[in-house]
Amino acid sequence: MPHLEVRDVVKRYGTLTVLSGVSFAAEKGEFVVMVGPSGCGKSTLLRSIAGLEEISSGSVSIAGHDITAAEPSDRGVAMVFQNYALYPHMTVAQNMGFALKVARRPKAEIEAAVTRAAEILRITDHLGKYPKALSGGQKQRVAIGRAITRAPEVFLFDEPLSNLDAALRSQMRIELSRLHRELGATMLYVTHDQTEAMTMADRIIVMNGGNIEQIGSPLDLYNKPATRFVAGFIGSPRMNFIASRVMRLSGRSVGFSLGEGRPPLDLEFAPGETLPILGDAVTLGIRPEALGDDGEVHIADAEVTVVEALGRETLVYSDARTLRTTDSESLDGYFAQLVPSQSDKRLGQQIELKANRSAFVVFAADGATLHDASPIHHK
Amino acid sequence: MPFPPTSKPAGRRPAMKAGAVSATAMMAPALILVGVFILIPAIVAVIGSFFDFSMTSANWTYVGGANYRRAVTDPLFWLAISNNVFIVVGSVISQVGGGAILAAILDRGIRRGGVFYRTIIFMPVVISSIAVAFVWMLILDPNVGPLNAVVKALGLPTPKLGWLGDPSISLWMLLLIAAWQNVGFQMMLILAGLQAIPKEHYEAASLDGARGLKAFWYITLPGIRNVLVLATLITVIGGFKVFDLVFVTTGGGPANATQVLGTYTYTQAFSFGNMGYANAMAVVLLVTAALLGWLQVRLSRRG
Ligand SMILES: Nc1ncnc2c1ncn2[C@@H]1O[C@H](COP(=O)(O)OP(=O)(O)O)[C@@H](O)[C@H]1O
Ligand SMILES: [Mg+2]
Repeated sequence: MPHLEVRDVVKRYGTLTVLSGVSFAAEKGEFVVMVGPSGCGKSTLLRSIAGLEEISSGSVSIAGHDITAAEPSDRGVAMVFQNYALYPHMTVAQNMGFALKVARRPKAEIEAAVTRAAEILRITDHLGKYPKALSGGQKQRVAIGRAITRAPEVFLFDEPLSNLDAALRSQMRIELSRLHRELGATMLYVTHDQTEAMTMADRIIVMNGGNIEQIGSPLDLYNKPATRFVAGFIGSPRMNFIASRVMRLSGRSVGFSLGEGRPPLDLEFAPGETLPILGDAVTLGIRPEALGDDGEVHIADAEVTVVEALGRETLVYSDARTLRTTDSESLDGYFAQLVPSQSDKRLGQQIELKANRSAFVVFAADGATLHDASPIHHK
Repeated sequence: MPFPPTSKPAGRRPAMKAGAVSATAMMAPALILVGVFILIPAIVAVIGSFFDFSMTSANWTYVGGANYRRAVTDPLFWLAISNNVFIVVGSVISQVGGGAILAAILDRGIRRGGVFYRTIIFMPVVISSIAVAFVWMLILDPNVGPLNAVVKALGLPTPKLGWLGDPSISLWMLLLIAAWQNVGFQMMLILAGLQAIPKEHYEAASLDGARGLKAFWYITLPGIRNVLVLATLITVIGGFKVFDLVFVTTGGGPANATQVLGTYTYTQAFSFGNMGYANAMAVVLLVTAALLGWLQVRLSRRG
C-alpha cells in the first residue's frame, strides 16, 4: 500500500483550473521530487495535500487513511515553506517545539524532540536565538527542524532552497539527502530547479500546466523522456530541438529531413516504438553532450556565437540558421554543445555539428516521444 | 560531515564623515524649530514654576516649591488629574479596543467595501479637534441637536441640563467625542499591524495545530504586540494632554465635572493670573508626557 496516495485531484479557482486530475503515489520512505515550470500547480498540489487548500474533487490518503477532509494538523504532514515562515517572536527552540506545545505534550518530551532535531540539523548552538538573528541557511534548518519534531508521516517541502545562494544550496541538497536517509521518512519535495530534482530524488514527477507529464527515476526521465516537454525540462543546458518532417518510410527505418538539399537522417525504430506517418511534422532532439566534431550524421554547419569555458567542461553555442528549432524557449537555429573538456573553439569560428545516429530522439507533433536515444557512456 | 558556518559576519557600515555632516545640516531646521517652540518654552515653564508672577506685571517673586505644594493640596488639581485618568482609561478601552475590533473586522470580517469603510472611519482623524468639538456641540445641543430628537423619538428620557450640561454624563460625552475622532487612527495602525503578519505564519500554525483562538493567541497577538503598545501609549499621552476638545465644548464645566489638567492650567493662568501655579501644573503634565514618551520609545525598541 502506498504511503501517500493522491487520486484525481482537481483544483479550480473560479473558472481557472490549476490542477486537472493529478494522480500519483509515493512509497514509505521514498523521496519524491516534483518539478515543473513556475505556475504549473506544484505549490497548489502540495498545499492541497497539506490541507491549506480545499480541493475541488479527488482524494488524498496518507498511511491508508483518507485525509481529504481532515484539518491540516490532523493529516500527519509537516510542511517547509520557501520563506521559512518562522514565528518571529519565538526562539528557535520555541519554533521547533510549537506543534508539540499546542498539542499539550509534556515539557520533557518537547525538549527531547527539539534537542534531537537540533542535533540532527546541527543548530544546537542557536536554540536560544530569535529567527531574525539567523542567516538564511540557518532559518531554513530551523524550518526543517520544526517539521522534524512533529515526526510526520510525510514531509512536504515547497522550494525550500530557492532563497539561498548557490553554494549554500548545493550544501543543503547534500544535507537534505542525508536527512532523508537518517529519518527514513516519506518526502515530497517541490522545486523548479532540475538539479535539485536530479540529485535528490528517488523518483521525479514532472508537472506541466496542471498535469503530470511523467513520473520516473532521474535517469529514466533523462534517458527516456515521455514527452518533448520532459526532454526539454530535464537536463541543462536543455536538449536541442530541430524541426523536421518524415521524408521516407521503409520497414522500421524512417528518414527525417535535415534542411533543404541535404540527405535525410535515417533512424531505425525499435519494435515497440510507434512509427510516424509519411509527411508528418516531427521534432528531432539531441542532447548537448551528444553533439561534437565527429559522428555519423552531419547535422549542419554553424558559426560559434558563445563559448562558456567552465574549466572542467565547455559550453559552445552556435548558430546554424539553415535549421529551424521548434521550441519557443530556444532561439531559432541555435545549438548548445557540451564539450566534456576545455575547448579551443573561438567566437566566429565555423564548425560542423555532428552526432551519432543513436543520439537522436524523435517527438511527434503533439510532443509524445516516438523514438528514444541511447545514453552515452564514458569509460 | 561538519558544516561550515553559514552566517555572514554581521558588521556595521563605517560611519562616513560627510554623511554625518550633511545629516546634521539636514536636521538643523527641525532642531531649530524644536528648540524655539518646544525646548525654550519648556525651560521657561520650569523656571517660572518656582516664581509667583502674572501676565501683566514684570514682578517675579521667587517662591521655591510653593507652587508645587499648592498643587498637592488643591482639590481641583486632583479632580483634574482624576478626570484625566478617567479619560485615559476610557480612551484606551474605546479607542484602542474599538480600533482593534474595527481593524479585525476590516481585515477578515468583510469581503467588500473595506477601503470605503476604512476611509469613512478614518475621516474624523484629519479634522481639527476644534471643528470636531463644534460639530458635536451641535449634535448634543439640548434644543436643536439631533441626538435629543432621536432619544425623545424613541421615548427615552433626555438629560434635563443637556448632554454636556449634566455633570454626571458630560465626561462620558467627551469620551464619546474623543473616541469618534480618534478610533480611525488606532484602527489604521492596528490594521497595518494585522496585515503585516505573513499569511504563511497562519498556515504554518494551522499545520502545527493552532487555529482560531489559538492562532489569535500565538500568532496574531504577538504579531501586533508592538502596535498595540504604541497605540496605547499614543492614547494615554493624548488623554493626559487633552485640552482643545474640553475647552471648546464644556470649558471644564459644569461645576468642574470635566476639568482636566490642560483646562485647569489655562484657567489658573489666564482667568486668575496665577502664572507661577499654572507653570507648575504644566511642568507636571510635561513630565508625565515625557515619561510616557520615553516608555513608548523603550517598549517599541525592545520588540
Ligand atoms: N489563490 C489563488 N487564486 C487564483 N489563482 C491562483 C491562486 N493560487 C494559485 N493560483 C494560480 O494557480 C496556478 C498555479 O500556481 P502554483 O501552484 O503556485 O504554481 P507553482 O508552485 O507551480 O509555481 C498559477 O497560475 C496561479 O496564478
Ligand atoms: Mg510554487
